[in-house]
Amino acid sequence: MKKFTTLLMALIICLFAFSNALTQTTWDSDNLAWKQNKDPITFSLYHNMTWAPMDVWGKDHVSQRVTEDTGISFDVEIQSNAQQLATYVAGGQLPEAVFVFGGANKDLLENYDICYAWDELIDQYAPEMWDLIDKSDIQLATKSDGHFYTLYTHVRNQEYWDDPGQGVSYGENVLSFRQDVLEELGNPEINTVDDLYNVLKAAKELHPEMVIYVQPELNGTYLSRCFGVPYSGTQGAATINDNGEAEWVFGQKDVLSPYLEFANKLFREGLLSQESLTYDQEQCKAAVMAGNVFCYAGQAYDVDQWNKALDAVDGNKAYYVALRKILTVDGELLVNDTWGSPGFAGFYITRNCKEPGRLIALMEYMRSPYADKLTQWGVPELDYDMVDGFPVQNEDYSWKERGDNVWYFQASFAVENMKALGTALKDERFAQTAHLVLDYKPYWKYDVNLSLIANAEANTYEGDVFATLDNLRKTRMSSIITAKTEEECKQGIEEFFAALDSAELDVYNKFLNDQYQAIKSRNAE
Amino acid sequence: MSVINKAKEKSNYKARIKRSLRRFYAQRWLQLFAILGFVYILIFNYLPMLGIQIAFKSYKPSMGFKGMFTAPLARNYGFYHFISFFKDPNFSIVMRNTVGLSLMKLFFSFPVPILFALALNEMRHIKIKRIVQTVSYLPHFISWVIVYGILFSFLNTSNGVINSLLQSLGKEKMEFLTGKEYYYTIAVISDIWKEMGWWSIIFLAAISGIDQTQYEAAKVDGASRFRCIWSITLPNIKSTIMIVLILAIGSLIRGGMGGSNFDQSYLLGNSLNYERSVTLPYYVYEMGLAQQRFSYATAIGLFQSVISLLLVLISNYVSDKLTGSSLF
Repeated sequence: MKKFTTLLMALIICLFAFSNALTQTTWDSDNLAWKQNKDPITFSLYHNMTWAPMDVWGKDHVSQRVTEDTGISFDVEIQSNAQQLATYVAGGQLPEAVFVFGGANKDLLENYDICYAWDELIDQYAPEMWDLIDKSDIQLATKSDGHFYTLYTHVRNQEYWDDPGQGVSYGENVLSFRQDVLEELGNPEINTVDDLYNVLKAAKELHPEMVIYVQPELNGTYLSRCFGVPYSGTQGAATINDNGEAEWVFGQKDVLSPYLEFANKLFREGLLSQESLTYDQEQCKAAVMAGNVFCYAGQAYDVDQWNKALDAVDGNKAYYVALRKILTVDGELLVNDTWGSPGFAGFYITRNCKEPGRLIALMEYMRSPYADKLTQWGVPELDYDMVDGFPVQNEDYSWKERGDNVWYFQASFAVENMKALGTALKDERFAQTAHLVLDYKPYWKYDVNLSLIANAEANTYEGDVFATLDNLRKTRMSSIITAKTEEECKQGIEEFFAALDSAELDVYNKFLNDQYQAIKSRNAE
Repeated sequence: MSVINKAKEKSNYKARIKRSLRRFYAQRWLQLFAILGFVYILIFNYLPMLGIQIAFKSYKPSMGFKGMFTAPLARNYGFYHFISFFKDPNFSIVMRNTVGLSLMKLFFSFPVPILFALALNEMRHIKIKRIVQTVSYLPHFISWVIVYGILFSFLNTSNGVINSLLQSLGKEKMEFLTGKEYYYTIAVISDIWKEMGWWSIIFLAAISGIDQTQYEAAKVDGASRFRCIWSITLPNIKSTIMIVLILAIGSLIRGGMGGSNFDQSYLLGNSLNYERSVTLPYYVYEMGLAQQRFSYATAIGLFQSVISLLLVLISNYVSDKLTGSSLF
């Protein structure tokens, strides 16, 4: 009898587990919310991806396919100035959906009175979605009120980081050199910052008419990273000091000073272009396209893109090769990059939305692997073909016609990187990105606690302090680099850090560290 | 008697109202124009003044429109944002640049349209005079964004016209757009180029209203051209000059007659010439609106407006006392 009871119990448990497996939600399940209602509906949408080649929904392959699959279309408005969103919030005129990047924008929208909390919408309209979301993504997006108002795009979690096939962002800041001039110099080894100095100096002697080194304001952080100034995706970000405390990236005098002095040395010897320190990406590209630049700092992806553009120019000799390493300083590798994968952008459903259920269902669709690839690669067999497991774009269609990388409301990082690697497969001459994203990965440390530190909110005391600190950083560092003498540079450094101190850097550091310690304890539990 | 007087008063009052209404009706279309203008000013100039109160409050955009009234008072009895501004590390350079650049623009830009108008007035060839006048005020219609594009193509170090010329002459390139020593010069010259022709129209209009018999009489007495300009033209347009000067002083903080301080700071300014290019209107944008600190931006803007108002009042008073001409 006892044996029979035990067997019966085991059978019931097996049947229960089996039936659970049968009803476990997957991305292909029929009970997904977005599959239940495909009636045509149009929502108003605001986004700040100002680089997008189109400003209308429904004219490109991707948006047409999304509408076909879900019935949803958008009336799109693209940001015309950076204050527009705040003005909409203040005036109560937000559209029904907002898709934005930028810490300040996210802070503005992650408010219960302004946007619907996704956790409540999921409970109400798409409860099966809980089975499909990575818990670490939820943890990353959850605010202090216990709600999350979006799930961020392009999050890199521990699983991604541990995958040896996945690299860093193809926006990684690298240093690139004119290959033909390097050959004239005898292809010297560049392993240290002193080697860099010598090569730049030799190039100037050989080609005095060239612009030797272009370091733009945006994406020009390679050199500072060599000296241990951490790269930070948001300028308010923190790093960890020797005492295990979080502090502001640009408040470390012993780290920043050697970099500023070295950059000043390059400037005083005519090796660093003064004007380039104010360049944005387009201006940097224009300078490189003019064909007179020896070395520039920029993104890994741009190396291949700009080489392709140069290749298309008749009579062009310029081809740039990127350094596949971080340089050492006095024999030491000082790079101190810590990335916690805070994500890039967020899709918010505002309180002005009349049918939030349809939009949360759309988010469920967007998070699926199918839609992730659709919105980042394009329509399969139309916009790209798979080659060796990577998407290779069809050049017959322009970006405007394809619509990829615009409507990527729940994009993942892994899928984005695969596209860059796929691009590299088409032509080895333009495949440096594929190597660089893996070459630079060992230089990064992963610290999720650091990534969970929230920015200082605008209109708070810490927010006001940060605004002043960041303004000092933006306005003083360039002046220090372009000081006419070494003494002036050193004096500028002293004045800069004195100004940071009097602007209450300690208050902001305490704000960062208090959060960091609390997050560390919470996660340790 | 008093009852009769009261009745009389009442009927007189009624009669006055009736007369006013009849007069109003007779001018109804003209009154409509005036009313429309008044309503426009009321809605777009006076109603928004309600927002000034957020300069004394801790307002956040998420509070919405109601937040203007419900936001809590800022620290230091509402003066927190003003005190923050005065304590800001950049306060001294902002004020120095604003006052310095504006005074330079006033000193150099103000006489140029007058001199230009005088010179145009002396031209005898009507066709050429018209062409010169038209060409001179065309830059006023070009936005500062286009002007920046023109300046960039001339002055940039990579392939700018000026630097290419310098290089071909064997000279070193000059960092016009990033060197802080060049900013004031470029700002003032570009401001003069852009606004000179437009403002000369006002003075030309004033000159055209001068009685020509004065010139004839002066010629009979043997006065030279310069004598006529000095003794007849300038005194007759003195009141116009003073009124324009009062307006220019009132707009001093914004950049004088052209009001170009913000546009130039925004377009020509960068991290390298910041020490010279940052001005008060730009700082309102950079540290206020761009950081979503609406209260802080309003406080600085209010400070700017108070200074401008004081300048208008003082210059109006001085002008009235010295020359008898004033705005009000």
